[in-house]
Order: sequence, then structure tokens, then C-alpha cells
Amino acid sequence: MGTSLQYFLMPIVDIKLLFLTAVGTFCGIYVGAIPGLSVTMAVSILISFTFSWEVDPALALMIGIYTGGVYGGSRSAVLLNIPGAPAAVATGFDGYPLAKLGEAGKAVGLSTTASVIGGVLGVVAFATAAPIISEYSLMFAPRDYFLLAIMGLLLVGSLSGESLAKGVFTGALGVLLSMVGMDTFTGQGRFTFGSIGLMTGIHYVAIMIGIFGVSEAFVQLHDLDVKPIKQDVTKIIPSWRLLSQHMYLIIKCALIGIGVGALPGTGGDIAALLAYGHARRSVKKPTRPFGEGAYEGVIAPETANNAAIGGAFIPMLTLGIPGDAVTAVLIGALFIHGLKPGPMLMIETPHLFWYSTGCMLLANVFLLILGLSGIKLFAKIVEVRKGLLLPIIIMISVIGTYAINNSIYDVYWMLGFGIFGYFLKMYGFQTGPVILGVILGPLMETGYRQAMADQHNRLVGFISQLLVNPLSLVLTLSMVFMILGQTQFWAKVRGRFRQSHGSAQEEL
Amino acid sequence: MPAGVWPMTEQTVQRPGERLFLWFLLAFSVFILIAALKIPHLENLSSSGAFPIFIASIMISTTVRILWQNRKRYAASTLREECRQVHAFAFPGNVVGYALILFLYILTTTPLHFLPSSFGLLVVSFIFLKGASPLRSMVIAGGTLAGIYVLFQTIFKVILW
Repeated sequence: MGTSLQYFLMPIVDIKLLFLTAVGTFCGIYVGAIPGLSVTMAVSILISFTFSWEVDPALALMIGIYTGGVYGGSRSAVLLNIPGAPAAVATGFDGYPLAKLGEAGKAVGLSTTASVIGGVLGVVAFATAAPIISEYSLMFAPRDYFLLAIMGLLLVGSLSGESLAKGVFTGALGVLLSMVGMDTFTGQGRFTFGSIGLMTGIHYVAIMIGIFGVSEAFVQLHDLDVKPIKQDVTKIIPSWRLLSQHMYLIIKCALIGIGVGALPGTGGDIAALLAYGHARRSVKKPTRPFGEGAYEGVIAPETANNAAIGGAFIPMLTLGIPGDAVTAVLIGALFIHGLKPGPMLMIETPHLFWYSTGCMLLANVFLLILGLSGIKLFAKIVEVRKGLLLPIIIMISVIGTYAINNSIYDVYWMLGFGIFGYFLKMYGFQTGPVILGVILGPLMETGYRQAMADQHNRLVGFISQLLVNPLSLVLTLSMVFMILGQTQFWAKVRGRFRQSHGSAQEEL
Repeated sequence: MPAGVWPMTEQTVQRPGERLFLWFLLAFSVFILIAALKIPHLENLSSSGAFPIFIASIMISTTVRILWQNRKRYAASTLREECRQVHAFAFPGNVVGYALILFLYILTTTPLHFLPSSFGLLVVSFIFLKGASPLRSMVIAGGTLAGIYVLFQTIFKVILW
């Protein structure tokens, strides 16, 4: 217990770590707030620079950026009506109308405090649930990891875009990219096309930076001249009475955020939308109608998206399965530092769990301080011309990619993926599943091949194992329902059920 | 709730060139399947090539599904019309011009080394994207590069080429 507390307090008592968490949170807020710059982009670029560091300072910086970035998007959503990040889309529905009513300060204050409360509740859930799940996850067989990885890809595919098929395609593409190079089981080269350079594979950081950094910069080139409308911001700190009135909603939305964040592949954006929908349904007497500046419409999504951070860390550290795109990138960062997130992480490097918990809590404290201040600086930074910002992002992406192996070829790959990612985005494909696929691919393939080898390569034996084992059965059924839920057949069944339910109620 | 913000809404947006891009993805997926089938020792279901075949099949089936799902929407415009619209949609001047600038950067970065080529990239980019006037672009590029150089060499220990 004493050692755990020591690890937990490490980022607080060590000045360097304290400073890095603060810097990370500060940068995260601004990266998240600037439309076009995403947290995933920032963290993936950062990995390549911090890989020569010790794992603790690197993690402090990245957790700070993650926490600040998820919140940062809400500021531009409220003040400029441009969500800085997907997780802040729902915040703008009521945040911007509030700003137009002259309550921009109140909206920023509410979103900050709701984010912090949600974030802290997420950390508490992480600290409580992770050790239990970690112990339980030791019982997971390879086939269960295979199923979990598929579920993660299906979830992110189905929830994060306009089409399940597009989501599954990009997820599969990510898995394919993870297979380029030497097969770790047999040493056989795959998709190398005779190139010795490809035997070591394509570095996932080059893929990440290309897909998230460069492609987004290209998309942003479409609207270089969009000028934000500034709002007057005063009276930022919300009253205790207002917060206590909405505490029940905050707790419910935090639970939604934690739950959604903990699901493999889903993150703050989905959590925020679901929480907003929940608030609309459950709050009978909102302060104003939803969509016209209801406080509840700001509180609900902001609580949920920051609570999802703690939730997303649960599968990341205990199962090695990313909760969302940022945690996928963070898993990549831990790999670079020689650590392997998963059930053995808590046993082999127990300090990392309590240390991460401490960092997350500390980042939320900084979020409260920095979130309630610096609005004027915010306005200046967000107004930097894209024509200046985008080339600098490209430049940093190039340096970051080069730094991985001191290889210019990685830079070529990165730029290539950047252009490919641009087309994916333009044609409605989500790019998040690509990264999840890259990270989950090896886990999925190893799980599949080990499970198949256990059954002496008999398909019937493999399938029966999915149905006989209780845990595997639950996962298999969940997966089947997820696929069924996307079909027209399911939509018809649901429609008929609603129709019959409606007519039965009318008869009553 | 503003319309169209919930996930899983049916695609209604017309994206010129989407059909062509999907055909390209389909061809790529078929190529990957052929490459996967050529991976040696495909004797059992846990061999090196089994999983790649599975993944390539998923890529093919999802692409075919998207093409099939949107067939009516795609049929609404001819291929010639789509080719005409795709230029403004996916290849506007800014994107094509900037891609060319990056291509030039790739060509020059190895012979010229990091600092001169990156300075050139930043100045040309700032001017091209109307970020600043030529003189200001040079000052900002110089300042940015100096900051990047010091930051990455000292704090992040990145040895630039």
C-alpha cells in the first residue's frame, strides 16, 4: 500500500514530472481548441520525440495533453461555434447559443468544472476497476483476445462513422499494415514484395503521424479563410448552487462516459453524444430548451468526454486493448519504451498503474486551474492563421517521423499515408480505425493463430471453443449482436416491435 | 439535436469521385488478396498466409458492400460528370499546390540537408497559403526553425540530418 501511494504521489512530488504534466495539460487545451489539430495528432507526433526519454516523464506529458485536449475542444465549440475536437461536437449544441446569449463565461466555466468532475470520477473508476479486471484478464485465453480485438474494431467502425462497412474496411486496412514485414511466428516475409527494407515493417508512428497529422492538415487546406467570431467572456467561475443542482446529471453522465470509454474502440466523442442524448431525454425541466442554451446541454457532454479518459485507460492497461484512438497511440508509446500493456503489465511494472493514476488526477487539477484562466491568450492562439499553422505542423510531423529511426524513408511513408488519409477523410472513411487496426492487428492475429493451433487447425474445434467457454460465449454473442444490430433485418424487427408496442398502448 | 449529428446516419452527402476511389480500393484489396495467396506454406489455418487472406477478404467484401449500397446514388451521375466535379472536391488548387511543394521538399531535403530545405519549405508554404508576406514569411520561418532546432536538439535529443 505504501509503495502504491509512493508511485501515486510521484508526479506530484517530483518537480520535473509536475511541470511536464502542467505543460502537457496547457498544450493539450490549446491543441484541442484549435480546429484541425487533434489530440491524437499531438500525441502521435509527441511519441517520436519522447522515445529517448524515460517512460515516466514521457507519460506525464502525454497524459497531460490527452486530458487537456479532450477538454480544449469545448472552448472553441462554445466561443467560436467550431468544435476543436470530435468530443466537443455535442458541447457546441448548447454552448454556442449560451455564448450568443452573453453567457460565454458561464458556459466555459461550466464546461471546465463538468470536465474536471467527470475526469476525476473517471480516474476513480480506473483506479478501482483496473486492478480487478487485470486479475480477471489473466484468465483470458488467446481466442478471447481475438474476439475482444474484433469487437474493438467493430465498435469503432459502427459508432464513429456513417457506415459500418467503411469503418470495418479502415480497421482491416490497419490490421493489414500491421502484418507488413516478418511474421513473428515463422520468420516468413509478408507483403514485402522483395524489399529488404520492408522486412522490419512500416513503423506505426509513421502511419499514425501521416494518417492523423498530415492528412488533417491537407483537409484544413480546403478552408483557409474561415474567420472565427469572438465572444466577450466574463464571470467564468460557476456558482456552487448551479453545480450542486446538476450533480445527479453529472454523476450519470460520468458513468456513461466511463462505460463508453471502457468499451474497446470507443472514446470521448461517442460518450459525449450519448450523454447529450441522455440529458435531452432525462432532464424534464432544462434551464432553457435544448439547443437554445441549456446548461444541461453543456454539462452532460463535457462530463462524459473527460470521464471517458479514465474509462479508456482500463482496457488499455489491463488488456492491452485501446479504449480509443489516443489510447491506441499511447499503447504504441509504451511499446517504444519496452513495455507491453496487458495483464502482465500490472504484475511486471506495478508502478506504472499508480503512476498513471496520479498523473491523470494531477492533470485534472491543472485542467481546473488552466481551464478557468487564460481566455485572452486562448483567443490569440486560436486566431493564428492556418496558412502559418499548417506548414509548421507538417514540419514537426516530418521531424517527428525522421526521429523514429533517423530514416528519411519513414518520412516518405508518413507523407504517403498522409495523402492516402486525406482521400479516406474526403470520402467519409474514419481514420481512427486504421490506427486501432495497426495496434490491435498483432494481438488479433496472435490470438487467432494460437487458438487455431490449440485446436490442431480444425475450424470446428476453433468455433466450438468460442461457444463452449462461458467468457468466449459472452464475447461471441456480443460480437454477433453488434453485427446483427447493423443489418436491415434488425432494423425491420425493431420497427415491427415498435409498431406493435405502439398499437398495444393505443388499445390500452 | 441538429440533424445529421448522430453516428450511423445513412450517407446522404454527394462526394464526387467516391465511386472511383472505391474502385481503386477494391483493386488494391484484390491485389492484396493475390499477394496473400502467394505467401508460402499455406498448408493450414494458422499458417503465415491464413490471416492475411482473411483480412484481404474482409477488405474486398466491405468495398463491394459500399459500392452495392450506394449504387443508386452513384448511378445518378455519369462517370464523365463525376470526373469533372472531382477536381473541385478533392483536388482544389491549395491541395494540389501544397502537395507539389511537399514533393519538391522530398526531392531536395536529402541533397540540401535539413535546415536549408526546411527553411525553403516554410517560406514557400507561408507565401503560397497566404499566411504572410514574403519578408514576414522569411522572418517567421527563420524564427520557427531556430526554435525547432534548439528545442529538438536539446530537449528531445533528435539529431536532424
